[in-house]
Amino acid sequence: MKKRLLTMILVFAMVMGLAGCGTKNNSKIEISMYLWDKNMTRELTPWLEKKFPDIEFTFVSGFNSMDYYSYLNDHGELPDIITCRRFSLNDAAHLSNQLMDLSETKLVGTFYDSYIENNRETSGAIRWLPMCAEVDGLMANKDLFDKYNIPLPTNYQEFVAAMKKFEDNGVQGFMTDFGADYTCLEIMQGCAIPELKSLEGTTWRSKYESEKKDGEVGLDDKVWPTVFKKFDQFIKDIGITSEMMTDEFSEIVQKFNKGEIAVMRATANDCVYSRNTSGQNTVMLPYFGETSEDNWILTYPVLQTAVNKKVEEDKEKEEAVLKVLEAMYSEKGQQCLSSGNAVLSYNKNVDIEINDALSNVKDCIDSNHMYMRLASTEIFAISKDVAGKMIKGEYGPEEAYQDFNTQLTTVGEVETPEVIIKQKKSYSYGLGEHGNPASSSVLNTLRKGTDKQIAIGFWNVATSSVFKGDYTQQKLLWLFTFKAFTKEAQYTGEDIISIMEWLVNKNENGNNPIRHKNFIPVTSGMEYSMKDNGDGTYTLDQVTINGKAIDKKATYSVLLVGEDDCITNDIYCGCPMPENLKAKYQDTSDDYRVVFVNAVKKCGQFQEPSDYVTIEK
Amino acid sequence: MRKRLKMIFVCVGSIFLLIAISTTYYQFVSETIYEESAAHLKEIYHQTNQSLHNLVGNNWATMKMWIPYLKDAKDDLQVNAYIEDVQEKIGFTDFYFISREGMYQTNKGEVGYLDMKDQLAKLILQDEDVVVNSVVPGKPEIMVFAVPTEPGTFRGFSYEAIAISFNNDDLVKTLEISSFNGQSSSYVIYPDGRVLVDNTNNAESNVYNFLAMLKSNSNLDSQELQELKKTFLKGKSGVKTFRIRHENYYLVYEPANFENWILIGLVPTDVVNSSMNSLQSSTLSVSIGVSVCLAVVLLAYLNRVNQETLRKKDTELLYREELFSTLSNHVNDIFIMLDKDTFQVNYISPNIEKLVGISEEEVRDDIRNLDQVVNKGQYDMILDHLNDILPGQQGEWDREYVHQKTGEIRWFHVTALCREILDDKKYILAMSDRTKDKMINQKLQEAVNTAESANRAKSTFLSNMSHDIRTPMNAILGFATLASSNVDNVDKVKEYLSKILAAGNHLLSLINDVLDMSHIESGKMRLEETEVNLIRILNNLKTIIEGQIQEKQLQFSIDTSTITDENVLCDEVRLNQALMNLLSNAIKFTPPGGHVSVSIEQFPHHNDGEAIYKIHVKDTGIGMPQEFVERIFEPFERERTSTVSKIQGTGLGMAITKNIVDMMGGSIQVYTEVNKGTEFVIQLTLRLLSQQDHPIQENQNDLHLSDNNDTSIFDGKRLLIVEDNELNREIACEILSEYGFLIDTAHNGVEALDKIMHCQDNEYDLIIMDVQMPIMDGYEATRRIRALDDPRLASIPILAMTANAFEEDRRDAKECGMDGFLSKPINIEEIVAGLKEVFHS
Repeated sequence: MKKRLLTMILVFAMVMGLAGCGTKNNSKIEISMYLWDKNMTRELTPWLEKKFPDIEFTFVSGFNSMDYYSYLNDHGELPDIITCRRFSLNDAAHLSNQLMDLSETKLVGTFYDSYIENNRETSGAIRWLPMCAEVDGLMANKDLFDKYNIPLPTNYQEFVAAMKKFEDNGVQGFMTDFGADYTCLEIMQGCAIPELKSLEGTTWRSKYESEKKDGEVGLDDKVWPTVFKKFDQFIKDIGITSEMMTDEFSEIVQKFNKGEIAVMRATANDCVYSRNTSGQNTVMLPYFGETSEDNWILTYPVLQTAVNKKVEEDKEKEEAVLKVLEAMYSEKGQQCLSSGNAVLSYNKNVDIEINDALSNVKDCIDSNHMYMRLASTEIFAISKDVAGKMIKGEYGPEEAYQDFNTQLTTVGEVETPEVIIKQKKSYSYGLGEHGNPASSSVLNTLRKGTDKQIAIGFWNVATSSVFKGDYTQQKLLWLFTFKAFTKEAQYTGEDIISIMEWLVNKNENGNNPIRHKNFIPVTSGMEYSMKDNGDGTYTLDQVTINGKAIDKKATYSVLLVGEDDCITNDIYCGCPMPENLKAKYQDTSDDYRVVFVNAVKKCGQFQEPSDYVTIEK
Repeated sequence: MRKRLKMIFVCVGSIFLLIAISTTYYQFVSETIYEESAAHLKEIYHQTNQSLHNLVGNNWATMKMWIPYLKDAKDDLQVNAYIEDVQEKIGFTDFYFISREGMYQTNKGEVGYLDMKDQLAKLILQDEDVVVNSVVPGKPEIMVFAVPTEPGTFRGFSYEAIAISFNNDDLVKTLEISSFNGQSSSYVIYPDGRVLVDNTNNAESNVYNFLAMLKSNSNLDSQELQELKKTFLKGKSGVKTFRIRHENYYLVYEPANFENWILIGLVPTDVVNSSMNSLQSSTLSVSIGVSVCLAVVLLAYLNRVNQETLRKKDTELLYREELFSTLSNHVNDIFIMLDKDTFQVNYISPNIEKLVGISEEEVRDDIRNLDQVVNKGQYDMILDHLNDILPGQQGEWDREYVHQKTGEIRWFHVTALCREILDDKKYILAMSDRTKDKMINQKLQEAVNTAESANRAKSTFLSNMSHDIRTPMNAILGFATLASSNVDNVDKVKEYLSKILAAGNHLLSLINDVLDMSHIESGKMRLEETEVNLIRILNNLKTIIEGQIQEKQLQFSIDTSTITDENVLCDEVRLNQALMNLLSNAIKFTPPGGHVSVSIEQFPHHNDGEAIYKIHVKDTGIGMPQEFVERIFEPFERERTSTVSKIQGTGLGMAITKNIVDMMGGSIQVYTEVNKGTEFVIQLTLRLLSQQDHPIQENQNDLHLSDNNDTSIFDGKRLLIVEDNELNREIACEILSEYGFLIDTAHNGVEALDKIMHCQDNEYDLIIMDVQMPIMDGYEATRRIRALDDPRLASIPILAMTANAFEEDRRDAKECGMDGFLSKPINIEEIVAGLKEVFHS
């Protein structure tokens, strides 16, 4: 009874902490911040923690979706600070009542009107603040161009010609991941930016973005037919096939880095990353128009930030949150986020030095030929659908326009998604004395569902509390970590200790695999203890099974859940997994999401969490 | 007191009135200044706004004037030259030809996209003039003024509108205000506070949002800020004052009449009101000066009145204190005040040392020190009493203290009250010294006890006397009755008469003892020391009791062997009486065959001429229980009543003996054991008498006794018996007649005097005179007889015969001229002896 009561108190404290209700801890103000991408842990989160020692941050790696935040809001776990890249005012409308109006803050005053006005609601409120412009366009391997003596194109015709020359030389000129909705959306819009930026295009867009109910505004019949024509032309000119409808972005990047592909869709960030990792001279190219004066680059804010309205209830906390936001939107904060890869700051008081990789699109920048993508959730989805059909040759541009328009304006009955499980117990999210209950529950479910003796999550495998109630597939996926993999292996006890040492201990180069205390490894079927060194690093103490030291010689079936890239990569942690350990694991037969959903189905309920870690001070 | 209060009220009222007038005046002046300043400011900023409006209007008008020229220009070069010319005159930053897509080309050939948002549609589609805030990457924020044109081309660029831009910073000049010495700030803002143009005085640099700046730095609350925002949205103008940080500001706002811009002016109030403030300050200074002077005078007056009041109160307090202190020192009440919670003593009257012998300091240190000086057997603590007393209540208790210096016990009645004084709860103790009352009460109680004891003694006495008198009286009357009914039986009559005689003697001795006791207790008994021989006294006693010794077949012994000095000064009669009592008891309570002894021991005394004598009277009788011994010297105490013991006694003998010994300055001890015997030891200190110096004569009584039976000398002698009681007279006549006297009688002193005065030839040889008689008592009659002129009559011997048998009666008789003293009832031997003595002398 006593233990139950203590657990309830702990759960309550954690939920309150996440919901932004618990504001102070040991005289520190607690702020929860959801990260749309783990990339933010690279520089921004460590910098913020260092800059604000009086604030206790809880960073959670979430999803790049407004629907995800609606899901959190429905369960009362909307964080204090929300970040999201995919944004449109329409998508964000249903969260308006839960978000703070920032229009009268000093921070909003620092924005150029031209950029902040895009986020103004009809009521005048500004709830989302755009972070500097990320360039999303065509990434070219200039070394490859040089190798085959092909000049970098300056307009569409030259671009098509260049691609053909590469094909002639047996090199794939263009390849990208049309399996990803954003790729479909961006290339489709990128092909016809002048039309979309025309008077009719901007007028339509303004009308679409201010529609008051779904399906109210269909595609403009002057602007959008051209968009599909140009995209269709692009498919034909470049030779886009259904083989490119993959979402294996990293595989394409690997090929690109090896010089097997000349051009691919990527962001300026990807471009710099590729340059840094492969040593190739990569540059960004614009979306080409008929002439070089018609070239445009496609941009969007690196992310959008909003603040939970509940923060206003505590003036001290409100001040603290606004200071954090001001820091994020300061020059240093924007550098932390863009690493110099952004092209434009939306703030008057921030200058951004453009990276060399963007030199080839400087004319576009100077002439303000920067198009901000139209990125509502429905446009993403429809773009993927329509682009796929066009690539597959199912229909031409006219049908595509009609189909797109139909999908955009048809508000069909929403199909009730299938309920996979009815969860009877809830488990809170938050790092307690012996781990994160929600993550533990998810990993225990995975282990049981995959019949493994041990499961190891490289970091938090849950993104929110396990809630009581119905779980559809989408809700299950929102609960499970974004961008992960599942590997299975037969590891000895010694191997498992090595894995935990890799995940916990600072490596020989001084790199720390744990980006933040919220992101410590999760285990199931075994426990571990580690010492908090007080400087953000930890030292593994021991690995046990049911309290007894793990048998080093015994062999265990192990499920690994994680994304080793974030730990291995130099720009993140720089802690590569030892090769001997890598050699022993293999991919699961299914995608990590399928593995997870199947495991949940098999178990029927999320498993009880267990105490999987002990952190000694 | 009432007058003073009235005066204070008047003074306070005056001050309030003065303050009210000053406040009203100040408010009036402030409002006037505000209105004047507000009007002034509104006018200034209205002009500034007009300049801004003119700037925009002029720009639009000017550009419209250019349109025909641009249209009619020969070539692009001419257009360019014209534009450069007007640029130089007006000072705009760039000139733009704008396409319907929002693309631009400057006259210098620069191309790009001019982001005009929805203003582009307004410009192109609705043919309206627009002004828009825009940005071109890498350049400062610009304000674009655009007007629609007929479609045209410039260097191949198709345009439908032209525009000029100013850097926002350059527009600041429009807002510059020459007034206020550059201390004013001007802004153009959007209704949500975003700053479009910032012409600040540098005091508030980097103001990105005016409302946010106010929220952070001003004293306006969120509600006031929302009201201000609503005012901005409604396009109203106005003036407001508030504080930014620690400085007051005027805020002037006015809509700019195009777009939704608002012109804001922010000027420190001190700057705006500098001249007015000076006047106000001067006026206020004078007002304050006058007010201060009045206040000072008033305060001085009040202070004086207050001081006088305080002085009087101090004096009163001093008097009270002195009075209280004096009273405290002179009354037998101790006053203490102490705190209820801490028991800390706040006040203690200084007389505590006098009354209890404990110092003030000791009690101040700890009130419980008082508990240290209480009398034995009082265990209740002072704090126990105090803790029971609640605020408003009173408690009382008595306390005995031992005076720490004199050691005497003093009784106090303590009254304690718990009172709230100035929000503190205090105990007030009044310790009233009741020692005198207690002593008086004790004495009264003793007196009552004594009275009750005396009463009891009297009752006991009467009871005893009733019993002891009735007993012999019963015998006398009983045997007299038997004798009268047996007159014929001479033997029985003799027997009865002898028993009547014995009972009568017992009754007489009882009466004598009672009288002796009464005499002793009333203090009338006096010792008459004479020269006596102790051995002789013992021998005489032996002679007296010898008959009884033999009768009871007892052994008797006297031991005087240790006496070296037998002649001493002593009251022989009383010593005899004491020893006789002891011996009588010894004989009385010693059964036949027993032994009775008397011995005298002599011990030296530290005073020369004195010696200590111990006289032991010892028997082997029945002894006494110890409890009786303790009461043996109390009157009427007998171990057993005569009825039970068959042993007669008055019960006064031992009491008389003890009193006699006490009067002689000696002591008497009793040693006894039941059935073993008793020993009385009298210890006396007697003055010694040398036998050579004072040879003691043999008792003459012995000589007289030798011829006691010779009564022939009485024959023919004439006696006058003066007695008022007929029976006594008859008895006396009968007895004395038997001795040969010729007897005449008189009934009182007058009759006797008369008979004496009228007698013939020495008719009377002796007069026996009763003392207490009606008409004339014996003393008076004697004095009259002695005063007769005839010496022969005046010298007739007179013997008193009275029931008053005390020594003083003898003395009185002698003093009035009587020659002897016979006591009643008549003892024949005594009377014969007395008569013989008269006739012999």
